[in-house]
Amino acid sequence: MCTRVLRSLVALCAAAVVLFSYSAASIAQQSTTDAMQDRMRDLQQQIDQLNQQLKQMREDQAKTQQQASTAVQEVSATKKTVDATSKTLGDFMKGFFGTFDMSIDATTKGMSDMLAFGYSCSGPGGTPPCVPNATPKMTPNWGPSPYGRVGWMGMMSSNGSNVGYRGTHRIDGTTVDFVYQVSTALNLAAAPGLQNTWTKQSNTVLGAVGLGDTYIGFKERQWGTLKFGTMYMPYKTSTDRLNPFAGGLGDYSVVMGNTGGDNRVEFGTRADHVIVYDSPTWSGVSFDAAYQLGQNPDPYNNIVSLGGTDCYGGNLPGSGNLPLNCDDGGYNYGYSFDVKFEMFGLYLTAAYELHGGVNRSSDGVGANSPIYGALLGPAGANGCPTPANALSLKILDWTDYNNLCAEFPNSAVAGTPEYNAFYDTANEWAFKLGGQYTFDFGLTISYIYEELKRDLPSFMEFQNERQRNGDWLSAEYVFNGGADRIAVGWAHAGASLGDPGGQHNFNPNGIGDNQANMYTIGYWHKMDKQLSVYLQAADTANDGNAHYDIGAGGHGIKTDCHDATHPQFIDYSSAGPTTWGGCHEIGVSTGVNFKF
Amino acid sequence: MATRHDPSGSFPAFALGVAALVASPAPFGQAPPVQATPVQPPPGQASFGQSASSAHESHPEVVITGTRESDVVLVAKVEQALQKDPYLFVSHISVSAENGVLRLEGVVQDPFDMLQVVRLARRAAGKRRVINEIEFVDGGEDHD
Repeated sequence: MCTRVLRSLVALCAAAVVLFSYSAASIAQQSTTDAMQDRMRDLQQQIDQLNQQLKQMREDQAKTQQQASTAVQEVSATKKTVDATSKTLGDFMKGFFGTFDMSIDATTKGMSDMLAFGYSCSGPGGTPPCVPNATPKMTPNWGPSPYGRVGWMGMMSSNGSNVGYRGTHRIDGTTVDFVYQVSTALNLAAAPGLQNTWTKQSNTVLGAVGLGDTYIGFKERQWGTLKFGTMYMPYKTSTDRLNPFAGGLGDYSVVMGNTGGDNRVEFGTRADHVIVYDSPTWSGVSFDAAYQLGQNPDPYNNIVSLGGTDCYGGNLPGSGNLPLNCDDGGYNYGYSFDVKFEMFGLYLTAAYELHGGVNRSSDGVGANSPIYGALLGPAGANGCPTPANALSLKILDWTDYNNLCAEFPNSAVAGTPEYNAFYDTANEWAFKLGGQYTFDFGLTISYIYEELKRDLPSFMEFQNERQRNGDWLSAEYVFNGGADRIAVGWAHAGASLGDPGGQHNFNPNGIGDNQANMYTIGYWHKMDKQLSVYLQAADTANDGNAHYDIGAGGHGIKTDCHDATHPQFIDYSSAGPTTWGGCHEIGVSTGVNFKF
Repeated sequence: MATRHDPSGSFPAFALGVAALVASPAPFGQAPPVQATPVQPPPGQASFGQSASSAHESHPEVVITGTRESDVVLVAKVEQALQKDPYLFVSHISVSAENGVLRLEGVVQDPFDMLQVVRLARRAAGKRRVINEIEFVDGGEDHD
């Protein structure tokens, strides 16, 4: 019984336990579910919040990306703008070009030991044959020798220095470029200003835009280039490459294109008011043509052309020993032409240039030659004419004239042509043939033959120093991988047809005794692509009546046959230094050259 | 150094020009600018490539793209030769090529530089024709 009761109790307890256990579990489970639900709710809220945040973040990210993209686009656009600006600026800057060149020269005119003699002539009318007098001429101020420092002198010279800008502009919808260039020649060794030194008179200003090839024009690849402005003409440019000494003491312009000697290069001077056409190249052949407008109202071209600064051909009015006229080579129109052929290492060219109506009155009457007696009045003492009028008083340097007349007492009376500007105004032209061969191993050989002509009537030929031939031969060798080169050159001026006799030591027997030879040698060393140094020497040997120089062309300072005579005149003449024929200039020049 | 590469213009005209060049005797003994290496057409010029393929089918020698590449290569070779020279100032020189003919333009400030540019260009260009249109800027003034 007890056992049964016990069992029953146990069963009851078990049931209770089960019951309670179930209930507890159930209760506990219910509680857990609630908690979980709460937690899930919380989690859901958190998820919602996170989703919200995520959404927000995505939106923010999208915004950021958009902003970043915009920024990138902006940066890209800015970069493009900067690149374009840089390119534009680079292209613009690239248009600048120039050369800085400075040298120290030591040169001598080679005439310090010269003496001038008067001549006694026994020919008809006091013409040759003549013999020098025993006693040298005694010029009142200084004696029989050249006046001033005519021996070795040190000089600083700025040679061919220039700055320029050039560019092109494509015309929309065409294959034509508008082309332009402005340039200026610089003097790095002295202040800019008018170029009026003792042997050089010009109204042009160094450092001013336009003193250099300056033009505008049009270029089309198939049709060529047409340019308008102030430029060198084809006669010069056709053989520039045959001149290793460009800008140096031994520039071939000492002789080539230089009709009368001295400093000016008649057929190599930059021309104003010129139209130039450069053809394309067909199978190695091309040509260039130029026309220079005259713009000169004076029939004898004795004044500066309209719109110009100097007389055509260079020099300002009055430089030719006469009153303020363009009678030292002033001319009217000009034209120039060349044909070129280049194939492999061979270059051939022919060139022609004409100057219309060149006024050379200063070669005759300006040289105080007594031959122009008809300008003057009736014969006076010793047969020497007297001044015809006030004009002749102004035209001639009577001191020099009377000295000459004393030498040639009967020349004027002999009936020489009456002075007339028209007589000494004539066309001048030049023609040359040039050849060059460039060997691949570094040697270049160049040669030019040239003829210069002045179309004077026969009775004026006696003073025609503008008509002769000339030669130029040079060899150039580059070595040491292009770092070094040497060159040698020889220029020869043939005898001219006549001689105005303007030299103080003029020898009347020596008509035609005015040949000259210029010898030159140079060495250049390149430090890098842009900087180089050089050493050059030149020697010009003149015949008795010749007066060629060294440095003509692009060299900044020329050394010529003029002394330092400085008389003062009241005749408005700029009569300057006395020329001594037969001078023998020698010079050495060392300098540095930088290009950009 | 500026670079200008053409031919420009439409392909048919270019192809005709090249075909004429190939068909005609080489000027002055110059070999036609044949380049056997196939060339991918430039991006954005599918028609050029297609036309080139057509040309390839009808003209096995396929000189068209080759010639074009030859000009590019020619210009690059010459430019490299000029720029590599440590003593030659060529900033104002431009090089271009058309149908295998090399053209030099621009300015130098020393006649010697012109000779040297042409000398190096010829050396780099091999037997190709070289047209020299380089100008010499003479900065000197010569009044006396």
